Amino acid sequence: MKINKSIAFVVSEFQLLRRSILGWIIAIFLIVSLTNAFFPSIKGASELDEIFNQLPDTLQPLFGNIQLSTPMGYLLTETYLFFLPAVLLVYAIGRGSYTLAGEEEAGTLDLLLSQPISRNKLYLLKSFVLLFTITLLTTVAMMPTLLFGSAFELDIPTKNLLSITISLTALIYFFALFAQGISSASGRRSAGIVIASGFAFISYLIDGLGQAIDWLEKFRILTPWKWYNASDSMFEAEFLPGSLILISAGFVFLIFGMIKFNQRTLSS
Amino acid sequence: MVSESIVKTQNLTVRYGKARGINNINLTASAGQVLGLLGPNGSGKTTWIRTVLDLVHPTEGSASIYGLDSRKPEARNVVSYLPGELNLPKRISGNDIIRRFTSGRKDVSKKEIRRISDALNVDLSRKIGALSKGNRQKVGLVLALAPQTPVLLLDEPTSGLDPLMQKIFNEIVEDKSAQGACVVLSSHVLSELENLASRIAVLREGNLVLDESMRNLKDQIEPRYLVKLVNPSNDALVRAALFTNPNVRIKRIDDTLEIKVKGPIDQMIKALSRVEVLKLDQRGGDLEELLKTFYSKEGDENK
Repeated sequence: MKINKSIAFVVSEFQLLRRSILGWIIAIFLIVSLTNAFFPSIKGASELDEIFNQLPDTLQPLFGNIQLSTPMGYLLTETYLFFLPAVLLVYAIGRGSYTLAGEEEAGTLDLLLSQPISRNKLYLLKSFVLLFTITLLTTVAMMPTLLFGSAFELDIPTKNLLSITISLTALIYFFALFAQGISSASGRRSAGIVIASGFAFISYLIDGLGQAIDWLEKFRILTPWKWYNASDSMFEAEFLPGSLILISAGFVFLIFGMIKFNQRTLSS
Repeated sequence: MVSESIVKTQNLTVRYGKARGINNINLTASAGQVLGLLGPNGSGKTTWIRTVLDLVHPTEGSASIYGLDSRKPEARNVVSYLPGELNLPKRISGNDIIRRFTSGRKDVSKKEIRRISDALNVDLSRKIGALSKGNRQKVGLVLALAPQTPVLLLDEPTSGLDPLMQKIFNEIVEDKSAQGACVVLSSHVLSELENLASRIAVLREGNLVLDESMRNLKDQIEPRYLVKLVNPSNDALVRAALFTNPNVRIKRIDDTLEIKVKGPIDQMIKALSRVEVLKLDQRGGDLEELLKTFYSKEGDENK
């Protein structure tokens, strides 16, 4: 498949996704804007931070480094610790599981692969579209703060905003490629959704509780959330090592899924 | 004239875990030929086609297109395909479907898309979800027939088409075949293949039980004539008149003569003219009856 044919395929993928992506873009932009708009009402209210500080030591890490009264702390807590990871995980796991296994279950994969395109190439093109749409959504999520942050007293240095955006993108890449790998290897969309969602939830607990429970601490290295490291990424603009590890791990699943997808017989 | 073998499977076996797929299939489809793949549901027709397309990997044996192993994507440069169960995304138009599923091809022209869609009378600007089953099938046919590929693999292509459209489809396929295309048509209904196929391969329970040219098959057709004579004892006259013809077999069943004739029946008519005939019926003598023996298990006993 020549380059112009690959472009034609990618364009047709976007054509199929355009409405759904537009919906996600509008929803994410509006919700982040709305969340940002609340900041002036709680700016400087340090008593809110105190409430979280009074939580038991074992529970505090589950909620992250909460500082609702400062711009960076508010954005981290309200947007980048809970809302955006949760929403984007829904997109990434759902979409990642659909890319090939969903087409297979819908019966449209036969037609795609009856063309002169290798399974590896199709896998890579589908992965490219998946990662591109994730990048688009994380970039859109950054825009309300970047463009209108100062209007709501959320003056975040661009460097820090870019840092947390890159970290978040790497985290979502990982889960998308993980879900895609599992579902493509098995031919079942549900396998990707269940295993990736289960892993996201359990690893979140391990990462949070591992900060307070000694014996769990050593398992944190296996959780994507440790490498997401939202606090350091936001406050220190330190995103590179964690993001590289997440993207590398994601590519391990990409290779795994591609090999397994190539080896197996497709269901009709 | 020996035509070039385009699609070839050698000792092709596919197993789905412990379940049966196809067993040791040696089958070729040639240029300028319409190969009719016939068999009941679940006989392995779709598995054979999907293996040629590398959608299913062979457990043993191989499949090739123009000598190129079908596992190589380049082998599909020359193939267009219509799946037996056609599923198309419902929220996009027929034109979008054509663009999406031919994006990897180079042999598709807008002119040919228009020609085929006009012939099949399908509006490609409408969304797939708004089309009837028959019209969706027509979109699938445009997808399969518009590319100028020399190999067409069509799995149950006329499913959902009305008789007029079936006729138009037949004309397009005949045209492609006349231009040298190798066409494989699968069906579980003989009548769909009878007028198109130049060769018939019958699959049953994953095995190839017949691979024969249509001409040879038609030569094997042996109609039965059931004759009631006014005076049944006159059957000796009929037997005597036909005694020397090796293509005629006569059997008496109660008061009826059963005469089986291969080829021309003029001698039988002359023989019957010597006696008074009360009733004359013809039974069988069509392709369907001949193939039924291969189609069903009972065929083993008749072979």
